[in-house]
Amino acid sequence: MNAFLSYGAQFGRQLISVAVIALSLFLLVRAAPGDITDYYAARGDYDATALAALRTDLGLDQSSIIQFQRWLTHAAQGDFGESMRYGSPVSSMLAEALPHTLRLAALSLAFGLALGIGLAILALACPRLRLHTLIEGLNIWSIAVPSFCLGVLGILIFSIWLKWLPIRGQMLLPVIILGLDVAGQIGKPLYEELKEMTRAGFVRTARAKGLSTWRITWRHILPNCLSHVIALSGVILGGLVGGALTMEALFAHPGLGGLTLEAIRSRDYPVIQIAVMVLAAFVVLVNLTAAALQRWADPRLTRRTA
Amino acid sequence: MPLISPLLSIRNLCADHRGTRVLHDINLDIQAGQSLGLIGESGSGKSLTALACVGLLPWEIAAVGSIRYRDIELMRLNEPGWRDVRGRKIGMVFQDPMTSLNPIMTLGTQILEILKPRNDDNRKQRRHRAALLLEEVGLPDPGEMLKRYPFELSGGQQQRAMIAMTLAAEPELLIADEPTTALDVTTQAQILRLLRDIQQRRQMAMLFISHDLDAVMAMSDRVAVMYKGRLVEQGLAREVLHAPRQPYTQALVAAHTALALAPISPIPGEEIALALDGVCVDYGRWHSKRALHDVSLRVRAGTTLGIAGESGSGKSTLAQAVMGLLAPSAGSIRVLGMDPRDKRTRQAFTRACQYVFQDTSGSLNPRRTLMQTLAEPLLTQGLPADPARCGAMLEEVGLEPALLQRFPHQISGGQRQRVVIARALAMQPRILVCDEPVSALDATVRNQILSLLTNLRDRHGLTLVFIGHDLNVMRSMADDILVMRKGSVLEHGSVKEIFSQPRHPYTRELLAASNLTETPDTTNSVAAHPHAPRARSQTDFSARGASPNQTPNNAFNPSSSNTVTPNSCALVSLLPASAPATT
Repeated sequence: MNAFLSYGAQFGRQLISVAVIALSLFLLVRAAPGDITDYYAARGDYDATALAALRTDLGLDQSSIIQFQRWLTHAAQGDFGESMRYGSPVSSMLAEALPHTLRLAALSLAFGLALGIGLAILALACPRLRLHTLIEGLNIWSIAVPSFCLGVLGILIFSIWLKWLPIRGQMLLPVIILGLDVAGQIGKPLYEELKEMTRAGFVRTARAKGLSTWRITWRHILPNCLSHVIALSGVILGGLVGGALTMEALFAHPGLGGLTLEAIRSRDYPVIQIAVMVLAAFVVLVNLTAAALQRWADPRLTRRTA
Repeated sequence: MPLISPLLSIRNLCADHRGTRVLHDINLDIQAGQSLGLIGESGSGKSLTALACVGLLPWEIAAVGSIRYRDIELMRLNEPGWRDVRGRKIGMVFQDPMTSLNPIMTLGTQILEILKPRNDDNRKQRRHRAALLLEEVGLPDPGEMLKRYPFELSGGQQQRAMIAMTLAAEPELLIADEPTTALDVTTQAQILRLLRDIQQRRQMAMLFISHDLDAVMAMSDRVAVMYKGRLVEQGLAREVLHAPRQPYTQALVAAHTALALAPISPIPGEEIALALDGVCVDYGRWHSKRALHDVSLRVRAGTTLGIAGESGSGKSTLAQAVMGLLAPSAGSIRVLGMDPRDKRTRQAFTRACQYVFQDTSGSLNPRRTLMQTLAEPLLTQGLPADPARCGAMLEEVGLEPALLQRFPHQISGGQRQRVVIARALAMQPRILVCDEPVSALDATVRNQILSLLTNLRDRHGLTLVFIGHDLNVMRSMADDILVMRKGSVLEHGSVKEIFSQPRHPYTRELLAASNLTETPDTTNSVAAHPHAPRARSQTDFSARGASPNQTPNNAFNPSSSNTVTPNSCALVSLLPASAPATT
């Protein structure tokens, strides 16, 4: 019962933070001078009276608070409005963009986790391979090398020179590039943690029990590092969803990043609002999931009794 | 004396650590079904010897020689070969059960993964057998216990679970490396009794390692004494410990039987060093738990206050409140007139009052050399921190200055505690709060540390607040004693009062627990009441061995009863006068 309450409280806190993000976002995008009518004006399609009419039509002549109130009443009914630029409903635009982004983020994370965890374990199990230098290298790589440089390079090599892969819409290169980033961020701390763990008393006990190295690694050492990996993956995944923008742009995936960027450029308020809120909600969801997974991985976090 | 080939035989075992020899030519035999006690102070190489027997020496230590288990030469085994020996033939119980059990694995899983396979047994039967093991080691509700995690158990229960886990593989030799050192004084005796019972019931051989003479006496048929990596003496337990032939063993026994310190009664000044009025400490924000109930006391400058009690009694909480590490939820604390929580006087306070922690490895930064550690308090005071000065600090606590470049993990536990004391003394404090500073040390080292503390106290007029569970230590050091239990003060008085007329039953219990060697009448009194309450832990334990109606399994197997005398009542017999006739 108590645990249930604390889950509820946590969820409530996260919901509130999404709401606060929504409000401040709403006010902030309107605080900057200019709106979508300026975008049309710049293209020269409208004169001043037509622009004013358009502004009234879109409700942009009202104060921000009234606009927010109006948006909120619609949003409460599940209507998130229409794009000011394309006129299509925001929800359908989102439904189109989101799967691309999620697929890219999920695949990159899976690849990166597999690579990072695999490397860390292998480096520990076979010190003679000197894999830890590779882990160090990958870590520095993930910090220092911007992914778009790699993307451009990859396109140049594999698509233009070798002609192995298409440029538009392919998943392989972006997943590998983002995955390497993830592996670099996961592998290094995990390797250090694993190394620390091998010196722990219970690992000595496990060895004194005559267990195989394989079993000691998989059943004793790794599970004790798992909550670390989960916490880290949560942060990384949150970043991936919003941060895969350059990959989406380079490889022509119409994802969330591209949608947001385009919307910001044309001051398409409803789209900005929803795109950023979805990002925020996603980060919140990832955090909650990570916290729940951590509890599963480490019973000490929940069962603090006796 | 029939000649049986030993179960484990160590011949000419030597070990080197980076060019220094840490084990010299160890020769040791363990017969099947026999318990061998290995005794020595920390750093004497007893744990290394044990680890060599299971091939778990740290990689930087290279061992040569021969260790034979029946007809297997262990020193020539490769890793898969070792796996057949570890656990299955030689089981090991380590010192600290909290760190030795996997924290996120249930006890059931940890036992089942080592449980000796039997023909046609299924999952359910295996779980049942695991539960039986937990029952054998005296854990309540074994079926439920299998689903528990180590952190849900007390220290004593954890060690019981550890023993059950080791027994699961049914080893013929059990190595117990200081199995009770990390435990509470009242649970120590229970675990020791359990180990001895199991060893005798299962006819297992045991290598019992300890620095505690009482424990070794109670646990072993034969005893081997180690000193600085050498085996100095071995023989029947009673013979070695009653009539030690080697000077080191004689010193060890002498140090044990009577603390060499004469009670000193300094002339206390009038100044009140420590004044507590109605101090309460609560833990937790919402469902707060009171850890300290209404403690009031006065300590005059230059005197020593001993705080005694078992773990969880609130003595460390009291010390931390005095140090300003915890805020009291009620009452006031004045240390030399200063409030420890007052930020303005904080700096002056830390100079006047220093703390020696219980956990020696946790209170030293693992990434700093001793030199760096000791330089810190000097630099805070604006003093130059040159190697000569730091070396002198080490010498003051009986360490060689050559250790300055070492890291904490490269010195022994006893040495670490000396470093901690040296660091505290570097501030030239007026009050020193010592939280169980000697409970992890050997008898000889302990006496040196205690006399060091006493000397310093007398030389600098230090006020000592000395926390411990060993009342013997208190008697030799303290002027006043505070007995605590469950966060409240049970008794507060001068040493003389407490020791001659303990008013509270718990004080008497504590006195009995620490006065193992001074209870010559136990054989008579307790043998008549074999089911006397267990509360009088160790005394009770020793007497139980002597009681006539113990388990019939205790009668040794006939083959070995010629070579070994069961001396389970050895605990009482440290004083020759009180030695009961067992044979």
